[in-house]
Amino acid sequence: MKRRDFLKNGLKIGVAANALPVMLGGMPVRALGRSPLRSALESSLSSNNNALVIIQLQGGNDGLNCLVPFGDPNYAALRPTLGLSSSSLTAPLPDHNTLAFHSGMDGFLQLYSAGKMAILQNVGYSNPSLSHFRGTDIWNTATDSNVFASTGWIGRLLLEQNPGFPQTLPPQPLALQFGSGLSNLFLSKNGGMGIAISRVPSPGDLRTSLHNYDAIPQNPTTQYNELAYVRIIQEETEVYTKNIIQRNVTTNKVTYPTSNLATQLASIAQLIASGFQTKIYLVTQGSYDTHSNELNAQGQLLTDLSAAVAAFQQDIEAFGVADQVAIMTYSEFGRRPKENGSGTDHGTAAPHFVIGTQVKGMVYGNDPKLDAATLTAGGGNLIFDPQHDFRNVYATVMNEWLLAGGSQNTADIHSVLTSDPNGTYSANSTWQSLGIFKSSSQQYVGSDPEAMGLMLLQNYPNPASSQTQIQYTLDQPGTVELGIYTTSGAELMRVVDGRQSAGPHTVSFNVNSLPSGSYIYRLKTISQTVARQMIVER
Amino acid sequence: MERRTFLTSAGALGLLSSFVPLKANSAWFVNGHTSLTGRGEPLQTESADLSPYTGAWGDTQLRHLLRRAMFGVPQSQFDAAKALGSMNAVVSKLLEAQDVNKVPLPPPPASWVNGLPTDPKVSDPGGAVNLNRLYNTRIVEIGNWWFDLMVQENLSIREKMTLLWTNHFVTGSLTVQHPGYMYTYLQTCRQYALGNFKNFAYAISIDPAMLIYLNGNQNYIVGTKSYANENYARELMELFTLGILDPKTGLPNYTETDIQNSARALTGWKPTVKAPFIGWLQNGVNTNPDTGTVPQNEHDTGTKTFLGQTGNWGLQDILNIIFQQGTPPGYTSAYFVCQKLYEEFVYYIPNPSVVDAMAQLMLANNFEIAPVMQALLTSAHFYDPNVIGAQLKSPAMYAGSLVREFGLTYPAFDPTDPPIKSTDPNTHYNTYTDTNPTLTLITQVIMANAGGQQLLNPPNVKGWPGGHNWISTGTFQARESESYIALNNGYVNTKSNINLAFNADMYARQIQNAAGLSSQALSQALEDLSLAFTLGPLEAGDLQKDISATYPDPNYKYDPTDVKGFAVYLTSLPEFQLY
Repeated sequence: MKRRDFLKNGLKIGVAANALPVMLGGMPVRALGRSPLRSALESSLSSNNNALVIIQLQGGNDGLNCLVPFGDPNYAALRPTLGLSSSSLTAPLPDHNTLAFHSGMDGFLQLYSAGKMAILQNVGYSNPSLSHFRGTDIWNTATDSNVFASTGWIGRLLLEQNPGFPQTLPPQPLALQFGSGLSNLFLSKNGGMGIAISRVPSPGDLRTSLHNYDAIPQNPTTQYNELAYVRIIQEETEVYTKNIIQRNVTTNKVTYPTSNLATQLASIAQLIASGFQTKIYLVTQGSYDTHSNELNAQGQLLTDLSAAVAAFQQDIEAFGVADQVAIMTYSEFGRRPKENGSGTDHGTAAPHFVIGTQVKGMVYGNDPKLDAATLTAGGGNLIFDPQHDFRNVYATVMNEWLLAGGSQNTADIHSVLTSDPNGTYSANSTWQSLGIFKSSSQQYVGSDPEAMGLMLLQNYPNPASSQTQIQYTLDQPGTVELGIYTTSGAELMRVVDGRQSAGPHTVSFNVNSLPSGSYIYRLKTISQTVARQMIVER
Repeated sequence: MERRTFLTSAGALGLLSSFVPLKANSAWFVNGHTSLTGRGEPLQTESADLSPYTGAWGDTQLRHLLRRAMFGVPQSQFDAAKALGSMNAVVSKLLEAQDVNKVPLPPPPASWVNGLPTDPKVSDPGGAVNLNRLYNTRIVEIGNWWFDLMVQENLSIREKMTLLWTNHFVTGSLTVQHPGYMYTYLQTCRQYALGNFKNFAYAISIDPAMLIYLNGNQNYIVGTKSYANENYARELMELFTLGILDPKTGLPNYTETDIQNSARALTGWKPTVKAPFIGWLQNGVNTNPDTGTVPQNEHDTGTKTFLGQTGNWGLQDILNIIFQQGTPPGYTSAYFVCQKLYEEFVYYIPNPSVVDAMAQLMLANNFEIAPVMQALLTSAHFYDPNVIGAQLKSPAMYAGSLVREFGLTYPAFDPTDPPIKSTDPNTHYNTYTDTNPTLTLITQVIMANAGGQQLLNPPNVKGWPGGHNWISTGTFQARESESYIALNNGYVNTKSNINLAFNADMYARQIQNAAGLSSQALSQALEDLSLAFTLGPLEAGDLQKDISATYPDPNYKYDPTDVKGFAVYLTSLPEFQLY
């Protein structure tokens, strides 16, 4: 029996024994079929060569001591011991003089100054979990806070694009992670969509053995389903270890620092420069769980992070592949604004970074609000920017980067972030592409520093057929108008008209009177106007 | 060997030259912050409760029991267990360690576990840097001592339970950085391995290593100023006793306010600096065991509302309230803990109705662990054909089965206090003589590569996720590589005093009359020793060809050289990764 045939055999038997919890590589076998939804879609991942390097800041990075709002007097008041002052900071951002990086992060400042870094402020989600593990799961599985899912957003995206996996193993891994066990970020209903390696293997590590395999017996017991999992891993090991060893670039163009993160990024640069088609790379750095000794511990981590990323960026530029690489950070939560002894407790929102030559480098969103009223409203924690719900960041990365040039982005993003035949991940069905990549003609809404706290979210559902709702947040009390307009500017409906308090508002209304088509809704306060597009379809 | 190509021993050299100390070793892998929720479904078995097993008591069942209870099963222990006769007799034997008078705790590996220099500048000529190295060396020694106990253990479930508990009440040596504390912590886990879970939770809450690891020592008040640190309070509920959600209602078990208030109740606990290493409450009344004086109060005696109950709560009150949660009272914790037991001993995906039965039994026994294990290991569910062979080996299981089933030998654990060889802080960490370099190779390199498992150093407070997370492309390749090296030429490096040796003849002769058996019978017996599978004709045939140079072999002649090839091939089968 040939190596590959065991998969087919396992499949056949699995379908016959449907009553059993039949698993092949961790996935229910009946789910292996090509999804009808998918069949019409082209593989848009192959429509570009863009790769994404995800850096997980494990343990909860303290955003306030990373990108420091040093100009805010509340910051120093909340952090008499931990607060960083000018000697512990880089120079302020050139175009944003209220913010500076931790002094170890000169590399980040250089990247920002060169226009290669998008800073997204106050990234988070509603009803945040302050648990490391639940928080990590929420970010990895990309769900609402009260939804429990077993698959990761990257896993779902990769399966959308490669519905035949794993019966047809691509020549190079779809995703690659440094670590000893695979992150649930990469899990799909068809099992792990990526591979985990501890380090880049060398020829001496190659110790594959071509076995004859007996077929999985009829009516297999669970041990055979687990055996099928190990056989798939062995198969992947043979194929990918060899591929990685035989990459055609084995030296870097720059000298990296000695941290683990830097070593791993150096390897990733080699793989990308070798022409690897792997779309997603995941590296993990930590622990950022600085309940104590934060100044030293976080300072060292941020210094390593910044130096490693800066070296990586230089390297891929020297290799001439920088235009196809973006880096994104994430962390399960930020930390509490008020210090506690020599550290900080678990918190909520934090800034995150998207880095590369193809981003529109700037600060997106407002500085974190540290005033007493806001913190009280947040239970002592930061309030996230609803526009920077982390799923909007994912949607942006998909729409403007990983799927850029594809024709089915909206459907794909909906499958990944809202629901697919295997589950519902969010009550929200509309995600925003924030316009942070050069490929996007989208204008970032709400980036105006003047628009402190004024937010207008996408209506839901959109497209709407009858009832739809719009959420918005006012930075100050005052007179507000919210109207629906034709694309040429004629007002059709006035949804809100009157004086309202500061804070979040939700309005529901009926679009029955509007024919199918595209419309603008516009929120107007005394000082500013924000607009978005909505669609009516029935 | 023509149908498979093994590369030369370059891999062996690669591994040895990368033989690095604990701290630097993290370069070999990233502690993945992964909770593998990508799970399938619970096992579907005929029996989904704790009904006793009444089927045949055959070799298959006995091997299954021993594999789950221990770290691999040498033929001699299988024979000894078989001689005990019945399932109940074997299970009783395995659980005998519940009585620490009957099976005493192992004595400390060395005197230094109870006494360490406290001031690096004074006590150590190399200063703080060297002291850290000394601490790391000794923490590695504790892991070596422990692995040696695992593989030398007689019929007993104690070390397996101990490993489980260090993966439940997690601390980590890289954070604690104190061999005396890590030793004390390990002994606490061993002492309660089959004991009372409630008492265990109290003991571990004030265990010095835990007070350091989750910042209990930094959770205090001064006068009216509170420095309540939430780290331990959160994990106590989330990971140690309750879980986030109620298993029956799906509702949250506690709120952020409950975390904050219980953190206040836990203020003031400190680890002693001098041996014996214990936790003590600095409440303005108790004497500091280190100094003999009564220091200022750091315990918050104010009123706290915790899980709906209001009072001047302290640690014991908090635990009492926690162990009353659910319906019937205590069910939430019992279910949560029994889930862990199930995942370790049955299958990595819990079966809710079996866990429910375990939880009921645990409640009926006031949170005693041993009766639950006794019922589980004698249940029809445990011996269901769907349970046998369906667990993936942890690195400890993998390394344990290599050592125990294949009879790998290493120099006996040497408890000698490692003497200082050099005080030059610029030299390699090994300024201290490693008296057990071969064990260090196993615990720090082989087990780390085989799945990121360094004893006493889980990746984070949730512990190793286990299940499919043990086997990935990287770890599978490492496992193939390591068993190949160990069984082919052994890990031998005279310069580093490493000697992990394999004697193929001794391995085969575990089987009675090995040299007189047919190739079919011998390979079958050796397969049974290590595999929870009955191999099909292709794989079994290949193994038989390996053990017999003249296959097909009516005149088979036993040859240890062929046995070596057989062993290498056997361990490279995916089946070897399951138990």
